[in-house]
Amino acid sequence: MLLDSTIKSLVDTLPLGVLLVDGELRICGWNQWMVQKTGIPAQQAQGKTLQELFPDFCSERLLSAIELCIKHKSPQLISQTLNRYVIPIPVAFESHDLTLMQQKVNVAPLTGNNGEALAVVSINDVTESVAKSHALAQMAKKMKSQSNHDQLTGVYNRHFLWSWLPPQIKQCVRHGEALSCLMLDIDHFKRINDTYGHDIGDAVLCGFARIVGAQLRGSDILVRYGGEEFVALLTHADATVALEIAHRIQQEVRQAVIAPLDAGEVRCSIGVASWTPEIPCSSEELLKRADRHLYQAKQGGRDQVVGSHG
Amino acid sequence: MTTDELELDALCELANVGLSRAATRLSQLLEDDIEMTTPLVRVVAYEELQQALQLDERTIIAAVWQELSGNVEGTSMLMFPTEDSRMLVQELVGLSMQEAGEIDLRAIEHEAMMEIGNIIISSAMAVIADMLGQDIRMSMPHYVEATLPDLMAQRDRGHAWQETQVIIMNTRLKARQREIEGRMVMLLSVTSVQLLFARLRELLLNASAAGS
Amino acid sequence: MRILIVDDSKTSRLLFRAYMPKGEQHQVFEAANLPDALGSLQETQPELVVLDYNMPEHNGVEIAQAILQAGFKPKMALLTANTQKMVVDAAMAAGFLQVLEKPVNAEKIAALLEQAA
Repeated sequence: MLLDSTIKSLVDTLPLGVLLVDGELRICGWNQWMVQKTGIPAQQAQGKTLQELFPDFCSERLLSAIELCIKHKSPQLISQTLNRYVIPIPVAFESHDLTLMQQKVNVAPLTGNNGEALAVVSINDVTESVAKSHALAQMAKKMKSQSNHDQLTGVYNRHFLWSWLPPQIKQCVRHGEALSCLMLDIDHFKRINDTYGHDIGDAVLCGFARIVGAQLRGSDILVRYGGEEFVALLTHADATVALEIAHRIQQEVRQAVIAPLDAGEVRCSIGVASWTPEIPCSSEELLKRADRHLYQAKQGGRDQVVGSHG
Repeated sequence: MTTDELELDALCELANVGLSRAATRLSQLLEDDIEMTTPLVRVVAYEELQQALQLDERTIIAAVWQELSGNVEGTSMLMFPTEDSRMLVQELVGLSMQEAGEIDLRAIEHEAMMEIGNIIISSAMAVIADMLGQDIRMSMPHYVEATLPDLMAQRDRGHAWQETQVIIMNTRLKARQREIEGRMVMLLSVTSVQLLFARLRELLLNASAAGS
Repeated sequence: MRILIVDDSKTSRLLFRAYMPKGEQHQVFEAANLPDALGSLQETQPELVVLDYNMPEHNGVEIAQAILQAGFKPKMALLTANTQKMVVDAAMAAGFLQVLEKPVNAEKIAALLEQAA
């Protein structure tokens, strides 16, 4: 080995992998951590290349980094983010679908006792922190889907719609009430996004949601159904009432100023469908009918309301 | 071509070869083609840096840098607009803002940008060192997001800025359909710049003599 | 052999000349862009054309295609600092003999001349 005994002992106590590589990519130093994690004793590693020790080895980045270190004495960082790992080492306990150790690696230049150029590869095991990141991300995702509100506009989300609507319809059956559904879609929204950018697009969505919400009553709910699609469910409202509200919404949207767009630049199409005790249907059918009317409104030139009354 | 024009042409060629080699290495890492425009090279005085970069003093830039030593003294720095670099990294790592949670994303971004900057700077400097036959050593990479004045203040702590000249290499990189403007800036002592140009002149002289 | 080097960088053309083997019967001509290259091909009829890839108006492969379309049939090689797969693939598909990686040196040129002979 190239290191004198005190330094070698020191390197063997370090809680990270340290290996020395020469100009021909042969290993000339292999510390105790490497022995423990790979099961390869130092004598076996000595003089071999990484490809010889690990048939699965394929990190071009590591080879490139060693080359830059040896030829140009330039330290290199091999991030876990872009590389995941350089040497395939199975983890003892699989956590979060990670079967191989995740590694953050540094390569530094070193001059050997005979003036030869060497590279010191230090390997940090970051599996736990990566697993934690994944767990946090998953938790955030789960929480987001369990929540009932759309993050951007603050109105309800689809998740809430489908838990609210079926029992609501059951109640309508019991009490003989009417329930109407408005399906609203912002006209040419993609064009707004492309012209003004996504930040303005988001502002338009929020503005739109606010305007629509202002026309609804306390017992009504507003849901963000899709990218630029919203659903309003109006309780105690038959087709006549629903159409009236829809027309009012359409007017308000037309007149609204959502900066930097002027009044009249944001328009919407609305499809209206109603549930009455005389013509009952399922939640899905109600939404489907409203959707069909919305489609007709779009086909009819947009910026209009279409309901069963025509 | 006058001598100065020829030297600048030589410096441009050096920058082109250096940054192209960097792009090739980067494309290996990212497993994707990297398109790169031919770099525009300028030499300016330190005081003119902000103006030359056309950067507002309040704009925050993402920067990776490595200190230089050996035959040449100074700092090699790579600058990106923060928003572009964020989007590029997210693209590369396949994350979306909502998925990863803002706090974790920062750390991930920094690590990735540091490695990308490291590859570009060390590859480019290696080529320049080789072509000029110079011994140029580099430090570990550092990453920071700051305004240009703050960036320079941080750097100035270790250097006498009055004796600094700047070589700016401007290029546009395109990876995964995302275009990002990168500027590699070499802040060197006046003596180092003189040495570089002396070596460039030597290189050209030898080449002319050999070719005739 | 008559060789035409097409590169917008004067330095690159100079270095190419500098590393050409001495004492052999080769003639090197220079061009900085497509019109110059076509002009030189007409005048000097080189057997080998060495092209840079990254050039302002057309890249090296595009210039090669223009040369072939103009009716010339020289052997061609790409001299470039950009050796990514897409560039190498494009060069091979266009019928280039070789891709030489910048910076150029005597060995690389010798190998090229051997293959082009």
